[in-house]
Amino acid sequence: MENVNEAVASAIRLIQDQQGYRQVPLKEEHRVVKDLGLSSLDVAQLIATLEMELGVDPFSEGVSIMDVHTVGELRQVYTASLARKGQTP
Amino acid sequence: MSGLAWARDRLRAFGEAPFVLDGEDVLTYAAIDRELTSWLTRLDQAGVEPGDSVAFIGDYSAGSIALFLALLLNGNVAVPLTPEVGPRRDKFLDIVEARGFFEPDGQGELQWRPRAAQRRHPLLNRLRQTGEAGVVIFSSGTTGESKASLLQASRLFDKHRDAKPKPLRTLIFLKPDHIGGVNTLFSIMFTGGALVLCGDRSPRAICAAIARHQVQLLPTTPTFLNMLILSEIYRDHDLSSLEVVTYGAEPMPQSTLTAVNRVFPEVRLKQTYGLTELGIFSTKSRDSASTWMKVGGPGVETKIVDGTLWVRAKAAMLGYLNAPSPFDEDGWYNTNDKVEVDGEHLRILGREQDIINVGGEKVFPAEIESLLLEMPGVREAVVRGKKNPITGQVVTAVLTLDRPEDLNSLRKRVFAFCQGRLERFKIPAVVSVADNLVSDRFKKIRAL
Repeated sequence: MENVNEAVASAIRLIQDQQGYRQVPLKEEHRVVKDLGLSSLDVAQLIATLEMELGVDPFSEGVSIMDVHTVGELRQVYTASLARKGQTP
Repeated sequence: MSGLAWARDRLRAFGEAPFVLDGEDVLTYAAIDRELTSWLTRLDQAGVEPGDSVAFIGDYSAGSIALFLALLLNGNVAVPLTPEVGPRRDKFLDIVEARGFFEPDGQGELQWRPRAAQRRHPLLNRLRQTGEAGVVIFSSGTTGESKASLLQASRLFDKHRDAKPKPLRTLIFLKPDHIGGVNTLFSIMFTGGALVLCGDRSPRAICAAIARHQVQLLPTTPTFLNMLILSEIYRDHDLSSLEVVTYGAEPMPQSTLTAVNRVFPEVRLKQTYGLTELGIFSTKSRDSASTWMKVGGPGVETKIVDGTLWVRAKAAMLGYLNAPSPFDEDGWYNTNDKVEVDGEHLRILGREQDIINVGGEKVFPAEIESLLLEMPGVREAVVRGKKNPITGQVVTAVLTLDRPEDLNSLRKRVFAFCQGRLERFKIPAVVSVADNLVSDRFKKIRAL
């Protein structure tokens, strides 16, 4: 879980740095688009970065991106995906 | 009047009907027609003659729409550009032999910037001789050079000539430098509809504009629909006026289509298909939940060759101004789109070429690779597309370096280097480092 939390936080931080977005402490209930203000290209980058860091892509395993709205939900789908692969998240 | 006089009669017939809705401003067809008249005077005063190429820079506005139409009625070649053209502007102006361009000043007023131009290109000269107006659209090319497609205005207008009035309030999503944006403008104005302008294309701004102006038709992309559903911003606005959503420019994932149907059960969803080189065709989706469609209609013929879609269209461009003609001797164009066929219906699977489609924007790896190679410390670069649930694909880069570097700082360095040199969608979303790329490339070549 720690890995996933750290990967999500650092991927979001990288995007915020690059784009000059305001940074607030990340909360589980923060919605990635509505609250953090990520654009389509930002979310696309976030998912691509997480796949590279964590080695899994939940969205190619049947998870719909439409069901992921918050930071907490994002962490959950990666944790579940790693668990399915028998890896410690 | 370049054979387009009927077009102006049509505009005038809609009189006091609203044409352009921009925030609080409502401009009627009659108002835009008056503005068009004053543009014709201004063009004349500026010394612009029929046959001259004239560019304008900026998004759609009441002023730029009237100017666009004035240029076409005046028999000019109109070249819509957006500010993202950046440092490539002068090169583009050279390619189209522009007599000058209009760009907004600090107050947003379009100002004339004349320049020296030559009249040399045979395709442009052919238009000039016949007194025809044209439109030039720039799109990405394989070597990173943008290709300039010259379209004949009368061919673009013709398919709307018999259109019956059907005044739909439509949000114009694509910009004037995109064939889809040009097509939306023409199809709305010849049916007496109203165009809702929205400078900001974020889900929040678009939803607010739909609610405010009671938009009925939203032509957009699968990427925007992904963001709309994902953000749940649609919950904060009354979008009940929406009747039709059309989508195109990139393949539609079934999961997105299913979700949009679930969220907007009353809205009809319709796929569009088109290319800068060929124009936008009418299509008929099998139903709102299906990505299968019939492509065609008057003036459009299709054939499938080895699973790839070929099209012959009356509205096709005359050719590229800076590349050889892509049409075969019988006028067929290879779209390079792989398709599945089921009876009369087609389903687009995507491009077979080495081309990356990021949210409907085309990216050629060679352009990005050559820029990355200019970065200090970068020895080799390989750019590829990677599947992505939001934008269909993203750009990824694998680099080899002269000396080891912290990955996070490298990523920031790559982004900073590319910013201002590339549009955002072309900037690699992920960057990784390899020890050796030559063998990787070699393997790729061997595998072909």
